[in-house]
Amino acid sequence: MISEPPALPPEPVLAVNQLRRSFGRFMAVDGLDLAVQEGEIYGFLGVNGAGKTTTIRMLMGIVAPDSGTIRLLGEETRRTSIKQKQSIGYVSQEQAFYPWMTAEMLGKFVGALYPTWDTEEYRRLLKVLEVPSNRKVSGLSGGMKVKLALALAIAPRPSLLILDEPTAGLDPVARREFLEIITHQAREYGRTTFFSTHLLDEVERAADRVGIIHRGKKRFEGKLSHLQDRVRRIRIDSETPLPEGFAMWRELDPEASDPENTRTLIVDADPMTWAGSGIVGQRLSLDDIFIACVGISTTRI
Amino acid sequence: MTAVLFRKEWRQHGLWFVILGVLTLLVFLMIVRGVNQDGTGGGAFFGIGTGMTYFFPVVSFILCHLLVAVEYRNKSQLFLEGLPLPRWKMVFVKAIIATFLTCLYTATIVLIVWFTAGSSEAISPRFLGILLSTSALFGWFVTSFYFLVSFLGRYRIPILIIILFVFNYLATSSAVPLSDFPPFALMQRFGFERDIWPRNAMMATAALTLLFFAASFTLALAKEGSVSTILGEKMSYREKMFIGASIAIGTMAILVWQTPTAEPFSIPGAVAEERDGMNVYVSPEGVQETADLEVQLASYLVRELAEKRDWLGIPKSAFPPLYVVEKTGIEEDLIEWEAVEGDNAILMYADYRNPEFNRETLMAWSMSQTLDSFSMGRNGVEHRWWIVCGYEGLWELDDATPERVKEKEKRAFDTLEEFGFSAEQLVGRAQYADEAGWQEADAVIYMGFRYLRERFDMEILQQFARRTINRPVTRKDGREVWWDLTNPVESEFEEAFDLTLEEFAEATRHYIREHHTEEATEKEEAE
Repeated sequence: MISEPPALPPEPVLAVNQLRRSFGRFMAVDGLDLAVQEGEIYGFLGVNGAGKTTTIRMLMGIVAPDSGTIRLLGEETRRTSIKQKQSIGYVSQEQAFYPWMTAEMLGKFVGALYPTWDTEEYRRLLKVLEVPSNRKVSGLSGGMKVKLALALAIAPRPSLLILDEPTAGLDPVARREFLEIITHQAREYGRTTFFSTHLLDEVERAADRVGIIHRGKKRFEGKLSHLQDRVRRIRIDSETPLPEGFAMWRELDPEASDPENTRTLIVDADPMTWAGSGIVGQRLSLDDIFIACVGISTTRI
Repeated sequence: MTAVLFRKEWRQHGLWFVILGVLTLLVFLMIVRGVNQDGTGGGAFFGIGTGMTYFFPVVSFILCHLLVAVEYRNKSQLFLEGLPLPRWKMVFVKAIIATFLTCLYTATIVLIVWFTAGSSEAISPRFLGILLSTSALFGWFVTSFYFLVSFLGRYRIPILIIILFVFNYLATSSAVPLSDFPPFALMQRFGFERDIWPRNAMMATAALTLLFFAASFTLALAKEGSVSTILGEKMSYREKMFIGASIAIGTMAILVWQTPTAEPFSIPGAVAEERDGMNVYVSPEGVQETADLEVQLASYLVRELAEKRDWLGIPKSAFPPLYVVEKTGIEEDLIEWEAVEGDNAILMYADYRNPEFNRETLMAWSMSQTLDSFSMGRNGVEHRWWIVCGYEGLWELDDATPERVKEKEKRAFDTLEEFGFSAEQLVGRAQYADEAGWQEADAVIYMGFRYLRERFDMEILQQFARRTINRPVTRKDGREVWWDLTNPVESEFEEAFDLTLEEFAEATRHYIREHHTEEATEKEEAE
């Protein structure tokens, strides 16, 4: 009896390997690895200046990486080609459309650059998103412009949607509406979506998986629930070393004098390690984990 | 992919391209018509050369502003970067449009002028070919230059101003024959050259044009487009202030330091008296049978001016030549003067055949103008001019008839009675002249200096003059202002005469009254 070979894990739609990019002496992205699977919504989380936009600009071929590789839609490359860009829908951080164009004109202009452009779909999206097709861009609100950008990104029916902080500058209602549209698009059409944000609640609401970037380096990649299972707060004796399998993320208030001679640490460990160690860590909110992850001290504020 | 960019540019700027084309055509036709009417041109096409040199740069600037600067100012190039579109293609399309429109505009102008001038001028196909190619090539060069400059974003205007200054300097103040070099050489004989292709100039211009376009691409694509994007940002307040101040200081420095290089002034046929380091030229208004009067006047002026010059201790080499031109119909003192631009010479107009003319006045005024001119205006400033006027009065009236002297004394008295004067007014000659009249102000300061001469030795007056108004200035710059500040006239005056200006004013008032009383007494006695 011939047994079937074990199923290979599906190839990611987007994967980057040891991606690096510096601007002068400033290292914006420093050896980044990440992978986005087909059909998932990937939240790319980081504080301002963490390296999110530089990463996305490298993915879009706008800037070239200093080193590292990008694997995009099955093709490995140093720099994203025009042909690959035609399979990606992109919403940039700032919507710098031609102010004299209407949504209709923009559709014609952008559509001519994509072989897979679907005019009917574009018109439908404008209608669904309630973007007036004959009003000049200069007369649209910030929220409308982002929706227009999303319609332009989705209309070519791309395999991958890359959104660079699309909700920055939107009010809470518009932000929520926008996230619902993205989630709906991904669920309904199985569209792989990679979006960057610095807002944790956006990731919680929309992302299947999350990658946290800080100072150009990846700090975590996985499901948010796993993050809460892994990262906890513990209090241990100052003299006691951390058991094997535990990684310290952060020590809280290390200079405070403690009569009991203990330390408060935020540590990362596999759930199995937690179970086997007998240490009962205090579960943390995602906010606390994110803050510990990016190394911001809140104890002295 | 390229067609969509062409369509985009047309939709965005098409109307402007048409308006610009029509305006260009109209302005060129006006220039051509104007040049033809002037009679300076050598045919109907000469005006096109003038228009290409002076007006087409404006057209090119607007064209490149629309195509490049607007794109970067609105940051819409960032939108294009996110699309599946190579960055170079965006620049390439703009360069093609700029080239096409430049050729279209220039060719239309040449062809329309050809069409209208065809009946009055013999135009061979070769001549037409030279006109079309040289105008289009020159226009293309200008456009390529502005195309490059447009990528400099917020710095393009300051850079253009600097370039304009440099070219203006080269064209007007340097010995560089700018028009002999390409691309300007293309326009030098535009409309005149009918047979010979300016091959070398054309090749050099084409090479420069391609160089500018290459530089434009380099700038647009440098560091993945980030250089042109950063340059396209709006100027900060600090930058605006810095650049504005730099341009203002630079302009002032150029104005101060620029040495005029005009041809030396001369009047052919004038009677010349060149003696003892003095050069005086007297020119009659019409053709005279004899020039005796001119010879006498020139001789008198040389003698008197040389004497005053030596008395003041002015070096012979620093004393400018004096031109006296006869001019009838001048009112009042029958004398006028005029600045000679670009040359250090004194030009006086005088109705010297008029019986009322007084040559002492001409001599004294010429001396004052010389003192102002050779000091580059430092002696003409308000706080020093009264000294010149004081000595001028003495020089004018030293050998004058008693009637003229009395007339001056009376004028001074009347002025004192009607307007009075303080120490500030006495030494603020221009200000006092506005109030009382220039002849009145002159009369008052004359009396002041006559008082000084009567009370003090002539040597003291000479020393004071030498310390205050005999300083030749060869360059206009801050050193003279510094010298003025560190050598205040008031201190010099006090040191020389041991009088404050208030005491001097009081003494002058007393002196004027005293002489009027003397005059009245003399009159009474005579009666």
